[in-house]
Amino acid sequence: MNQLFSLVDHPQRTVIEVQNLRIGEDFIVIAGPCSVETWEQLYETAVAVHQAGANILRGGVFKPRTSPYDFQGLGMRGLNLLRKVAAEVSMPIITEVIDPRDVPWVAEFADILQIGTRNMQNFSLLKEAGRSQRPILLKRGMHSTITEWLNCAEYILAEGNPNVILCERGIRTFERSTRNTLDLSAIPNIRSLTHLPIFVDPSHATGRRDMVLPMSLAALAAGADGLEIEVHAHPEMALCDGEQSLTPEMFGDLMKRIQKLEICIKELS
Amino acid sequence: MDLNINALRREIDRIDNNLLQMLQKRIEVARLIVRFKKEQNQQVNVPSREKEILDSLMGRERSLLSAEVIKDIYETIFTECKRIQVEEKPLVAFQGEHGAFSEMAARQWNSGVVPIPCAEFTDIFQGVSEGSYEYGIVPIENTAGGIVSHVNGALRNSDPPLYIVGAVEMSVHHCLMIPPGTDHRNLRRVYSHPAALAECSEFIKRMDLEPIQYFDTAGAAKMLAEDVPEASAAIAGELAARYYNLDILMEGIGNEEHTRTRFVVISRTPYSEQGNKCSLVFSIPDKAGALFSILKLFADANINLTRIDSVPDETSNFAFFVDFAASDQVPEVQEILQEIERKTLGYRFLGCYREL
Repeated sequence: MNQLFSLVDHPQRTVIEVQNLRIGEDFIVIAGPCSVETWEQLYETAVAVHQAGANILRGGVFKPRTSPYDFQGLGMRGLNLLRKVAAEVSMPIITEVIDPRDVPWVAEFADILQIGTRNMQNFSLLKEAGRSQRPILLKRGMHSTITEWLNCAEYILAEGNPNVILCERGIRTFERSTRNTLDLSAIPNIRSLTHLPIFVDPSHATGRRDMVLPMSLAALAAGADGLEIEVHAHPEMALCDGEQSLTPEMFGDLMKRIQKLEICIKELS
Repeated sequence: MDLNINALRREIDRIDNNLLQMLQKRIEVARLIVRFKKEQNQQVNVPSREKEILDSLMGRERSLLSAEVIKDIYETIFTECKRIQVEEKPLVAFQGEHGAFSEMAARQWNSGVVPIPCAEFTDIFQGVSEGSYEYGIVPIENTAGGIVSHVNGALRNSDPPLYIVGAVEMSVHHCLMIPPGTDHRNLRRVYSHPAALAECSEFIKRMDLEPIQYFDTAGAAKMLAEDVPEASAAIAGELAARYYNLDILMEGIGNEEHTRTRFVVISRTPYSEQGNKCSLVFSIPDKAGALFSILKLFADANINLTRIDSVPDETSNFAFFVDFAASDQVPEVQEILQEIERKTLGYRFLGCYREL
């Protein structure tokens, strides 16, 4: 039996419809803060990324943190905030799930569920996500091979949820000057193996806001279907990952360049 | 009891919640007494009764609760009770516990009235008839569950006749609420009124919760706050969450995006100012064209009918509840009403009132 992710039985690329977006067909930008903190923080950031042209609002409410003493997220209260702010700016939302028991609760309001790098091989979470009606954005495990990653996507597909988005977010190497090493070759690699859309998260991949712009442009040029970028209205005050968050001004500049590059790429093809 | 600080703090929150409910109840009863004092020509302020209560309470002092403190607390309570007795704001009876959707509707209708909870609809009709409450507020129709038939019946058969003096339409916004500190991952059961459980049935199924029927939405919230049953949530309105100090876990969980309920306010005396809406009820013989001949009167006068409901009555006829947008002080409307009274059986004019 061929794997469900494989191109053998499914040569046409998967297109996932979320509200009026067509993921896998149009270039999609997901933007927003690492975690939902307050109404003001989220609202200010959401308005800024919306005006700059982002398509989907991100915001973590359940945070898988390295230390149990770090900020763990606002939980369901944060999800209610995210839902209200998203309605104000009319954007779909994506947020991470870290516990199989949270899947139905988060799926109530989130348009896309995200499974993070640390949970890529959390098989009970993958199965529960596969039983959800919502599309799943599956990040690559920081120590995982492409094959392991695709097998995890297969867990979701096998439960009956065909809408999986893969997201490259950097892998662990011996290089310490960046948070991770962004594997841009994963983009053509994935496109040769599966019909599923492939996104890139340059924020976690580099951990440095000065590298987010060049890596975003490179990802688009290499054939990515979209980006997930961390933006915070006031990164210096962020409770989580402030050093890799773009300011709204930087994000506005990035979006302008992305739009120009999209035109160039169309002319090339 | 578990003697750790978080558990003790939760216990204090729970006791404070109960103290507030009891205090509210204490002041309400003091307000209800005014009518009886007046009927017996008694003074509202009876110092001997106050002294009797205080002596009894102070006699029950104990190690951590001195007679002095009891005296201080009760003097404050007496002062407040006397103030609201003199102020004599009108009372509006509603069915359910504090925080019910009906109470939210009463506040929306007139923020100057005092909502008083009643266990049953019949208590409202009886209490308003007897003059215990100036007003009553009852749901009359709902976009999800249709007409509230027993309320319509009680209105029609009220003796002495009660009048509709106001109406208010409210969107019912269902909230899932939990005692603070409850982990949503452990929830297994959800308590609410059967109608609310039905209106949120799809959500309850998606979350794999067991629905448990309770007599009232706000009553379920109150029970949740007081008893804190394990792994349980309640569905009620946001006012209930505020009154009973519960956290709203999710809102807008109804099957339909917008469920609306229309409430009418009833009173012993008709509305005294010019209204813009009239309600009436009548029965007609079971024959072709009987209803049409009546509706035609409104159509010919270009008056908009806003509601027609038919309810079977005991004589195997149909009773029709009709609302229309006009004032009964207009001569043309008075002529139409006289004409309807001639053509129908069991005609009753329920009132002319303002509805926005």
